[in-house]
Amino acid sequence: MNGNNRLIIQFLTILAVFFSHAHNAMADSDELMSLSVEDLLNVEVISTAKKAKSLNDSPAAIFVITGDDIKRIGATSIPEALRLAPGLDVARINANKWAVTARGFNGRFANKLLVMIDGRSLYTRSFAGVYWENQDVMLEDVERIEVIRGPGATLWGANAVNGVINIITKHSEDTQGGLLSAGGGTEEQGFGAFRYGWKFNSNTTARAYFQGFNRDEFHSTSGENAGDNWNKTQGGFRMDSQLSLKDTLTIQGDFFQSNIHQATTEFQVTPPYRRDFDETIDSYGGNFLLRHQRTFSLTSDYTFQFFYDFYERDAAFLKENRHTLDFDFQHRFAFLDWNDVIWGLGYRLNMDNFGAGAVTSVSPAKRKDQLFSAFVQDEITLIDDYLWLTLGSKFEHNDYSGFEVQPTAKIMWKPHHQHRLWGAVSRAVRTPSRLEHNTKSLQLVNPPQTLPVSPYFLPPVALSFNANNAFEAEEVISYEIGYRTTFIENLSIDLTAFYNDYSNLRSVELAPVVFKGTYIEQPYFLANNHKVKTYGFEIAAVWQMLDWWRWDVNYSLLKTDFSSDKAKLEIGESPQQRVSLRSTLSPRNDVDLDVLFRYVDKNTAFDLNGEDIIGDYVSLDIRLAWRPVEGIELSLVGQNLLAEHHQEYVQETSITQTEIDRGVYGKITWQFGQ
Amino acid sequence: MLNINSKKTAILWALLCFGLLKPLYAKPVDKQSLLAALTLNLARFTTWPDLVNPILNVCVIGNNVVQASFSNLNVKTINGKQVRFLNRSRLRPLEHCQVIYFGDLKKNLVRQALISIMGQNALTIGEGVEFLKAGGMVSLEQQGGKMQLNINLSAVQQTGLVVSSRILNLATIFEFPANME
Repeated sequence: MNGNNRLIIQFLTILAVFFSHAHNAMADSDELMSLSVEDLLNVEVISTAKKAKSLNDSPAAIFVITGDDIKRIGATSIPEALRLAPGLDVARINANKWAVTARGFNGRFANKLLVMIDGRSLYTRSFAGVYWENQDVMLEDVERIEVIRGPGATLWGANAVNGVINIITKHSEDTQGGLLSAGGGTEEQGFGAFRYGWKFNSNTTARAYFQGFNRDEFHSTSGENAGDNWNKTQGGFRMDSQLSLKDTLTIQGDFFQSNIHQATTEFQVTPPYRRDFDETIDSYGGNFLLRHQRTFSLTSDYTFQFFYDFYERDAAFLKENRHTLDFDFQHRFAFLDWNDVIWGLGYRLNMDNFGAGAVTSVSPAKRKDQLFSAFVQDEITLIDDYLWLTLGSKFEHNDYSGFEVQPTAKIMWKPHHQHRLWGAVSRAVRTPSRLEHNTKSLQLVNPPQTLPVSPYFLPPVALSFNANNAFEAEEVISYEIGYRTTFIENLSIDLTAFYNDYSNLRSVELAPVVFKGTYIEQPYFLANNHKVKTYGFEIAAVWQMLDWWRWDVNYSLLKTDFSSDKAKLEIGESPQQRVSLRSTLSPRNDVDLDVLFRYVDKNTAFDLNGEDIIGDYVSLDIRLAWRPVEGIELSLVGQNLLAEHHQEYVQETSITQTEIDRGVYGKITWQFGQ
Repeated sequence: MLNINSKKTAILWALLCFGLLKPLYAKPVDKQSLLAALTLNLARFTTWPDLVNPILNVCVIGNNVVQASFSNLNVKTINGKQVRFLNRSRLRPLEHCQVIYFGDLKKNLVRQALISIMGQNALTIGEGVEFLKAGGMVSLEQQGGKMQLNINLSAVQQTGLVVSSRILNLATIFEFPANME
């Protein structure tokens, strides 16, 4: 017998052992029903992860990342946790900045994804996106992250163009007692968190937490230190109260402060025309949320929510503070026994104040703007427990693009309890941002060029950005179909295909040059001239191979057709293919071994120097955890292990191009008093 | 030093060891299947005073995993009554249910569901003592590696249901009077 044959036989033996165990794991139903109640109460229970078997009933491309998933991949930030979801493009720009989108259009200032924490929108009107470095929660307290690809505008409103992310933290009843964690390593230089949960009385529970970290700088593409190290502290609380049999109240809030370092470049029209320097952005903010829910009956309830959110950033490019007040009311009721209706009203007030940077000014510096919205959605049961049709629309008015309508029609078919089929057609808009309407900025200066004929020379040329308050909303018509199944025991497959037709997309247009005496100004402004079509599919498969070994495989394909080469250059092309393979293994009750492998195709970004092509890359994260005694867990995490460093994205505005370093950290977690 | 083949062999044997070691501690019974089996077994020891219908409606609230845990048990009859499983994940209608199993459901909806079936002779089964506090009759709770049976006697006594003393002897008895204010 040669070596190969021996190896094959050994491999087959192992597979046979695995599958025999997998088979044993399935309790025989006849055997189970032959047992008495006494025997059943003495049977040893295992909690096999339900993930491989459960099928979501939503007619949308939804993917759920659980709190346990986040822990087991060793994520230390929300964007890192989001890497688990198919169809999401998460790219780390440097140590403190991320570009996150769904189904294309990525960027530091990506603007087609709506993100919420416990129902609080993280959207900033400044650039119509999310400052990811401002957003954090104590990851141990996350219940789940729901990632919905595709438009979600009917329920959640404008800017839910390509997807919605809802980060949901645990009820304070589920976080009783203490949790203390601390650790450190090469890139995660030091971090710690403390949370304590307690009970006021039988109806009211609460928790409070405080956490902080210090993260190392990465390396620039030229191999130098990137100067992007940062630190952050954050604290917060949540209180949940059952006011009566019908009423629940949740109050929560957070506050953070961070020092964000970055290498910056500023241009000027006088010598030396360009200034490179390191700066520290002082960024802080907080929020407060109150939610009251009254349940009238099984089929009728309402929710009232109020939140206040503020942040301030003191960057050389622009100083900014923003206050957001948001009121939201939703009412759900059943009608004629075959309609589940949900409708709501919303009001949002934004107040901001911009201080001029050296090269950027916002006019008017202060602005208040309002958003009024209403929506209605009806889920109609066409055939009981078999076929549902959902129709709805959002209607809203904002101070930038006026009145917007965002309808959707979805169908859900459940031919069998192991199969789900759905389809959807939706329209969504991305409303203009404050900077798109009210900014003027000096973006780039080309120094004077000496001409061959002395003493003539070309004066400096300044590229200046001029906002356009006629810039309109971008829009998409989206078509989606999906199929979910668990037709094979312990294997679930979720497949979604989509076709998105975008119009009115942002374009950059040049205005006539102006001679300013000592330099030439080339102004450019924004318009809505680009069109794009994207299509592709996403597959998410979960295989619970054994009770203690699960595999998750995701594959995403995204094709983009641009209306012109100019559109392709200015918008940038997201990775066509993304693959992730994850093994979740617990060989013993007290040991976890997790492996996450990812492949990301090449992509392009557009910055002031034109197009950047970022090469494809692979990455590998491994986490090993051991619980020597109850309540204590020691873990060792290796991140981006396959290369010393790799590049994932380039920011649109001028900062140092940075590569993400390999990192290793250790962590100890102690849970007590539960 | 190990050559490549030896390394592969070592890795494979290590995996094999994992495979062999596992059954020593994991006696494999899926929790949800056990919950379903216990629910149907409890129905065997329950008497409905006014049940003339030859069908026993077992209403199941929960996702496809919960639904499948009941249908996979392949139970046709209980105490001579034909068993009919009804998917009630949309929480309605509950009027004709003799047994209602509450899978994962928000607390406020559990409470409302229990209010909506007041006065109806339905055996209600859920998870955790919180379910009993909300007015449920039987709760199953995982304690260590086993299931524990809890019964809210007040809730049972408010209906015409009779639960066998054999079951009551196995259960931890609670008395949470209904609070419908």
